[in-house]
Amino acid sequence: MLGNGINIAVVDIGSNTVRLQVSQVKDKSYRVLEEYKESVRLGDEVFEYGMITEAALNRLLVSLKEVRAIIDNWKVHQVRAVATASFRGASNYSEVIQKVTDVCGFGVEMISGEEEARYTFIAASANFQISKYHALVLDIGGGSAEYSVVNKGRLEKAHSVELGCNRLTKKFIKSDPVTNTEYQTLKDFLVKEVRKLKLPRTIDLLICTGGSMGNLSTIHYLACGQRADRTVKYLERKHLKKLINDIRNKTIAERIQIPGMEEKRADIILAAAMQVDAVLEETDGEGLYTLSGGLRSGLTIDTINKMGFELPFQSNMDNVRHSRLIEIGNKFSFEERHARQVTKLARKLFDGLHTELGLDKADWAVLEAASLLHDIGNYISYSSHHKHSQYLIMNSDLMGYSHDEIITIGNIARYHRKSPPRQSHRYFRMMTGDGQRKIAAMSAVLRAADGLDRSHKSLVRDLEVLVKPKKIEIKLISDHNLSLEKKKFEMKKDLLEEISGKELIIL
Amino acid sequence: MSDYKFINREISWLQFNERVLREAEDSSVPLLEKLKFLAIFSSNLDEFFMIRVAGIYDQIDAKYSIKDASGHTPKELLGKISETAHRLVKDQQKIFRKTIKECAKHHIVIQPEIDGELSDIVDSIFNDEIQPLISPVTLSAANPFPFIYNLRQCIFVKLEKGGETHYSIIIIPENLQRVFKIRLHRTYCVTSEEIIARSLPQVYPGYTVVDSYMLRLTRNADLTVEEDEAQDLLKLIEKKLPSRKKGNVVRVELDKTAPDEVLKFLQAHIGFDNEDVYIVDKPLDLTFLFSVADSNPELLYPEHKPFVPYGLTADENIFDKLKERDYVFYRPYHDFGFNSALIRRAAQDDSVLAIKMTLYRANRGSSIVESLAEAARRGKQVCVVIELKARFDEERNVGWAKKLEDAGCIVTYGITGLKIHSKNLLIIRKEPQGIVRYSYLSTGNFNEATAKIYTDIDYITADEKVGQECSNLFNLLMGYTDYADWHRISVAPTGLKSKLLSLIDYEIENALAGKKAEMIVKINSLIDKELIMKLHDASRAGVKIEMIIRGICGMTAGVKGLTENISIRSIIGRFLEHPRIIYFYHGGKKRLFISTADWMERNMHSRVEQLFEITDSNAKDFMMTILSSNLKDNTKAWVLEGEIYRKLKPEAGEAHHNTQEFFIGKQIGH
Amino acid sequence: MKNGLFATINIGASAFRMQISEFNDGHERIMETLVKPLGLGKDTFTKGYITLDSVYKATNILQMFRHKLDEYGIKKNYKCVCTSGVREARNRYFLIDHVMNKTGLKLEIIDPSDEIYIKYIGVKNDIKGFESYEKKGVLFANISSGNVSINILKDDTSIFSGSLPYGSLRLRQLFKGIPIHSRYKAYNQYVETMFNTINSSLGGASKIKYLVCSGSSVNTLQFIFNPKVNYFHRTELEELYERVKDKTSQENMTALGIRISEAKVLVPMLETYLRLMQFVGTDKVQFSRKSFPNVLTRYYSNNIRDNGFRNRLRNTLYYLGRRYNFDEPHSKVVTDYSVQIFDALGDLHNLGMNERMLLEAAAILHDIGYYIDARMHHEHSYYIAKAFDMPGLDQEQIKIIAFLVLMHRVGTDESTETRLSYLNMETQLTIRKLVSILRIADALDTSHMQLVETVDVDVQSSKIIIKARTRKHAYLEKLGFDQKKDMFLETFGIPVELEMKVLYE
Repeated sequence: MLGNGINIAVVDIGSNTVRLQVSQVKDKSYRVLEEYKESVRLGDEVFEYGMITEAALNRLLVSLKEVRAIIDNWKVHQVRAVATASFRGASNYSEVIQKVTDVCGFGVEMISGEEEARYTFIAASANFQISKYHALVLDIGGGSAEYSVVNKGRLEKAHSVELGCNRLTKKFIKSDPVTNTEYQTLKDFLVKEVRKLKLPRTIDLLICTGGSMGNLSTIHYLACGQRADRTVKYLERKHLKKLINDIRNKTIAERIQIPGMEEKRADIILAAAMQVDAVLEETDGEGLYTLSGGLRSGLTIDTINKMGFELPFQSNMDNVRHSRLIEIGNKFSFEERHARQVTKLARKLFDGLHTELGLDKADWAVLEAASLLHDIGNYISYSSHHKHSQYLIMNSDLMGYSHDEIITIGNIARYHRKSPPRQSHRYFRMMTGDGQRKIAAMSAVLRAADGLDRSHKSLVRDLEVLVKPKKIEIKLISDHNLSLEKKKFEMKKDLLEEISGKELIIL
Repeated sequence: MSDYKFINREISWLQFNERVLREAEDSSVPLLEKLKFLAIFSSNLDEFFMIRVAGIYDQIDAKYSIKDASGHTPKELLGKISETAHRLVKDQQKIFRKTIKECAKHHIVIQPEIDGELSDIVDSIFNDEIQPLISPVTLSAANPFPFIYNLRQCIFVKLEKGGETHYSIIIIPENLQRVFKIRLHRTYCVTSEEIIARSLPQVYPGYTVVDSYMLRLTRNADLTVEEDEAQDLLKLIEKKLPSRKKGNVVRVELDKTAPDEVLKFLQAHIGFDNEDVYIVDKPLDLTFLFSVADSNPELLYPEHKPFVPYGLTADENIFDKLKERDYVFYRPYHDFGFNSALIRRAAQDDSVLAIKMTLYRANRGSSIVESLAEAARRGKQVCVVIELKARFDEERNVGWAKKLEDAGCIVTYGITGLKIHSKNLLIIRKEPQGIVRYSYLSTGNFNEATAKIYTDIDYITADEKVGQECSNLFNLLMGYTDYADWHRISVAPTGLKSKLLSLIDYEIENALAGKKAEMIVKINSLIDKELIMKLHDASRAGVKIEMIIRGICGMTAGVKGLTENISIRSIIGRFLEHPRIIYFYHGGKKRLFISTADWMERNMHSRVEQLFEITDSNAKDFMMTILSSNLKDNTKAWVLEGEIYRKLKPEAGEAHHNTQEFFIGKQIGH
Repeated sequence: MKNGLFATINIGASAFRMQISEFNDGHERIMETLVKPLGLGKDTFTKGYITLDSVYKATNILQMFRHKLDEYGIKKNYKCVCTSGVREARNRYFLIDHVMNKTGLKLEIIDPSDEIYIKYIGVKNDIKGFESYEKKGVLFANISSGNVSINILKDDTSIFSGSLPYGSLRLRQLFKGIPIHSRYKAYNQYVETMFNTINSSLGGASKIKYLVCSGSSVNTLQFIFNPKVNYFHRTELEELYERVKDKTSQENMTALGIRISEAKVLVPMLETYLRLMQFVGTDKVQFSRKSFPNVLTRYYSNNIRDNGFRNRLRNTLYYLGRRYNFDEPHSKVVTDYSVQIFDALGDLHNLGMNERMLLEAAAILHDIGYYIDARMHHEHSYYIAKAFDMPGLDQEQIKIIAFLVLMHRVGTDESTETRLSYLNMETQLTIRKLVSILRIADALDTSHMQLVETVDVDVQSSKIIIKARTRKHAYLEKLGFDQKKDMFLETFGIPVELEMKVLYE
């Protein structure tokens, strides 16, 4: 695809922070190369004085110069810098943009709250199977909050309201710790404002983006001993309430002691939490998801779209699952190139052989997952890694697969090497006869595909499957010497021959 | 190859046998000892024909006609051998005649005229001892020519009956004593065939005995074992034994008196070439002189008394003594009896855990075999490695091997394809401070009988490093391991030759660098081409090389541009020179080795041999004493000049030095 | 056993080896070294079992080795260990039984990781200054017929440990069908994939400085180069490789004077060496001249040791923890408390240093499963711990660690008890004792906030009092302690109580 391998950068100048995300566009997807974050807190002054002060501009420029250096370092093909609420509220924003352009060599787009909401929505679509839900995507920034209502994948409405947490904090909270009166006042205000939005009662998924909510879920994850570095986190409302109660009774200095608390958010985080609680109250929700880096991922995807192509998930919801698989793969440091190559070859073999093997087209979804994840067990250890792969697959949330499908995927991965399926294997025995048959057939395909990338160098460019009455011919297309691949294929084709009842011949 | 020159080993061997023969005319040799040399010459020659000449026949039969290193085809060589052997046999006859005349002066009459009183005695010997044993075969359609076994004497008899000529053969039975000594006022020595010959009319009643002729055949007797099939060497050799007597004829010894028609008749029935025929005076086969030689002790070398050096006795403290230092023994001057006693002691010592030994040729009634059997019965682990392929000793070997096995010894028969020639004994003893291994390395066999005739070096040490290597060697021989590390010992066929070559190379390097470089080599044979070529190189490089080679020598000496820095001598004396001692100057390090290996291809490549470095300074001095005494010998030494041996004589005013006499009774070894 | 005679028999994939040593106050005297080639590995790796013929040959060799034991009167002081050639054979128990019946020798199968560990200890005790290698980074590789075992150490941490199926004989068998002149190219490609595995496992570059190899291949190379020093240089290996890569085994055997079995695996073996050097970025392969049987002998007779093992184990566990993003401060304090309580209760539990080490290991790893999923994280911790592989830790020890992490959480289900019941009673009891302590220690940081500053263990006749001083009120800890203390009472028959005191009051 055009633009493959090029690097793009998006810069998000928010009310609190300047963030940079450098990504590499690759194989209908993108990969984050580097992220940068600096707290600049333009909002503080903007919301107080209505303009970006000299001091704030200087802080901004210092940070953006660093951004420039990183961008240069990565030889970025395209830079997209956007400014949100803080610029929108600053009377001197055009001078600031000019100054930034002069100093840093890239322009800054000031984007509207609706645009912000749209980007967040794009990011959320990439991470959630949003098509199944009536979702509210809520981005709480420093100055504004963006509400996007998405019904079965379609954006129903978007609001940008001036409920950013810096703004609210400045307005309502003067004491440290918060007095009861201040707290109650803010709460009432939020309930009132949220009610104004007339959110649909049928909302069943709340996705929050923005740094403050992200930080809140991080605090919670850390408190219960979970890894907090996930893109998506879930926070139950009862925990949210507990956090709010904790925080409101603490001074800012005490809040900073909370594990995970970002120092510069310690003051404003309460307002964000209270707003979300108000939303949950309004929509009768039991909890919320936080999505980190929402605006930036959305921006990145949008930038890629603007370069003239769509990412797969945008046209095909199946690929939401796919991105989740890649995420899991990455978590366990899989060799992505090999995984993708095996998947590609498995797909070719599957397409050519599924009728021979008694498989349905729809079975590809599980085989795809198994192909991508077949080696993740290496993370635990090389020896018995096929078994470890099975374990990890069965214990990682594969989004969009049923329980049975997950067990099937685990089994296929398990049989990608060493012994073929046996009744004595617990998770194989669990399956119905037809399920077992399919596992055997698909692991046979996976074995062969894995063998065809034995060198892990993606040497096979393409393959063709020719089914003849007594044999199956596989024609490999490559510019390289494939002796190793062929050798390994010969060793791994046994299961495939057994199941198809035909001789397999490599051409 | 053209830069090097080789002497054919068979020719060289015949030269050696000639030196043996010449001892029989050395005036300093006691009379009966001369008879022994005559006998040795004969027995050597028998073996030579059976094996070496037979081998050349095999080559010719196999249509092998490539020239050997000395430039002879097998056919040419055979001609040369025949020519030389004929000459030597003639000389032997002459010397024999001369010697028996002298014997007669000392009242020992060999081949006497049988008359008078003697004839009665001889008649009764014939009647009582001989006649019952012989069975003549008179040839006819019903009685074809009988098979004549290897080395068996026959009497071919021409008879007449009713005007018709008949031939008959009497094969002298194996169990018939060869010579009868009749002690009257003189000692008359009469051979059994002579007695039969004069009694023929009695054997053939009704016939007229026209004449009779002595006949002896030598057959191909090389014992070649199909190595690959040698699953059980023991069984194989037992099976193989009878067949040895059925080889092709390689030599025919025939009475001088036999007329042409007899020769033709024999040729027609046995099948042999003219050049294989040796026409000799009676008696054939002078080996019988061995048994004549004990007739008068006064006409022998004066008896020498071997002694046990270092004040050693094989008592219960012997192992403590052995730990104090290394001991070197020089047989037969030192008493080999100590060594047998040591084994006996080890067999009885409670602390001894194990005894390991190589046995090549054990003498009959060997006390060593008895001791080993006893040790095994006492619960010690006794391992004996037996070499079954020692020529002609197979039958004897098989017998005592079984005896050892029955006593509970672990008996192994070595490594298929390799003859075991190294001579080692290892005594493993558990002592309070830990295991101590007593190693015994020798250049000679553990044979109490030959220990009296052969000169050899025995070396005993409790040195742990040597113990380890001896242990390695046994492990290798018994098949317990296939690999071992060597430092003090080098082992053929894997590392011995390369060790020698590298030692010579070191001398060459030094010589080329203008440094002192010399070596002294005392061995029995030199025939290995690679070593000879290396010696040529060394000579050219200026390494001073002195060699004492008793037997075969495939290299010239003192030839300009070839071997001019090499001197070669051979010592033939009352004892058979047997130890291999090798000295290298080695840049002043003066390294000394004793070895079981002669410098022949077969020793280097198809035998297990050892080369052992002596590091103990006393022992090194001792070895140097032996070598320098050998080099000083001017009475029993022959020097090789080009390709010809010349016997040394003391120059005018030069003191006589006989190295063997020199060591007799000498308190050496400290 | 430290002094006296000790014998080791090692049944490898291509040869049987035996060594007998005499030890005297740490001084070793090698009495015997025996080697008998027999390619059990060839049977096992190609057929999956040892042929009857080989079983008989093996028995014959062992009968001879038995003679050697008898020669020295060695009755019990011997070890007879089998490595991959037997380990991977289907009929291994038949061989073991047959040998036992015929020779009275008791064969043991040694785990691959133990095997490598022993070799490693051998090298470590032989190469001077090796301990600094463990800091600066060393790759230790054992190239055998079946597998290449690799252990990478850096900063006193075992950062990679694994046995990869790239042994020379295996490679050779794999590519038998490829013509000789291009076979080396196949080896080249194939060996490269081994490094993919290592790299993906290491997850990023780690600078290594030294390369140390062991295994029979070292002997072959020693024979070929006869080096004066204890290393081979890259250039000599490269030259040799160029010389032999496209020749037949016969040609190489003759040219180099090596055994045919060695010649057969020479090219894949050199390939592996060169790639390892490239991977490490060094020009030298170091080796030890001590033979495996020798090392085995010294190891089993307790004459060599692994200095710094505990420290390395600790580092390695923390390394593993970081890999799984564990809560390091939490693990640290739980470890500290565990050890402190363990030490204070010596009279109560009667366990030794080994158990203390296992407890420490479990304390470090107990929450590691969170990385897979927070739900059932104890199961995940158990799973990861079970797969933990560090030379020096045997299967039994790993099993105990795994059970400790599994059971650290209260409310473990029936399946835990079932799994536990497969272990022998003594092990079960040890696990229960250690879990009781681990639970208390974990409870002392329930909040994961390290609120507890100091802990004192007051052992009284009727109860144990844990006196904790905290930075602030630690409600969660109190709660956690009450949930987790029961097992202590069940196991030790004495209650444990928590006394908390806030520092600032």
